[in-house]
Amino acid sequence: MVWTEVRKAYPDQWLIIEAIEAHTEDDRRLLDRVAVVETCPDGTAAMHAYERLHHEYPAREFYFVHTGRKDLDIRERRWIGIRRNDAAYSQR
Amino acid sequence: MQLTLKDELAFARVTVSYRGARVDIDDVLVDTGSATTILAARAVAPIGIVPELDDTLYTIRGVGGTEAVFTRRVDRLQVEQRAIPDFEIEVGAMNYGFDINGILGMDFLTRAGAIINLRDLDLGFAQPPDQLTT
Repeated sequence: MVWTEVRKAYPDQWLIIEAIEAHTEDDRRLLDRVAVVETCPDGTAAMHAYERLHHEYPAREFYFVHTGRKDLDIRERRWIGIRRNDAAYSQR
Repeated sequence: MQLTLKDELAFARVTVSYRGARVDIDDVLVDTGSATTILAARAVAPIGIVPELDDTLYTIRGVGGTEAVFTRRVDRLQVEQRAIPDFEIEVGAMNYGFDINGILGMDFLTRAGAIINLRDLDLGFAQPPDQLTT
């Protein structure tokens, strides 16, 4: 689906969506095709659902969004990451 | 502020004030390699910082995939006595597999005039504060 279709199908609803096709233009992340993964009662529940899904499927691109939002308007930032030492890993 | 060194990384305690509530958050990484500041959703939810309809969403892309975060302007972000008012933070899941509740980035550290003393493991601040907080 595209976002306008999602908004029609799930009015006034918190959702977890997944980017099926997406691309980046400058600092904008544009979702060309999305799937609705879960409906959530409120923003707190959406954040919890996101945390669970992101933990379980780290390679997939999920978002927590409310369909009251006309445009997704997602910005992109780059992160190289925290570099931890060997000792930190061997303790785990 | 005494920094805590864990596995060669330096952590501090920050205080967030938001709509009349405040919370102390431990295990926040002091990171001059991060432009922005992020806090874990689980740490700020108790003072009502939860996703809202019109938040600006960001996707943080890097090693190991992407992470979606929302941003929120808090009333104050503070380390001990040094507070920066009206400060924008990112809020995300931050499930990285070790005890970390946030990253204190350069946006805070520069505005606060931070002095990181790694010999004494002290996070101090330049004086006078009024000229440094914008």
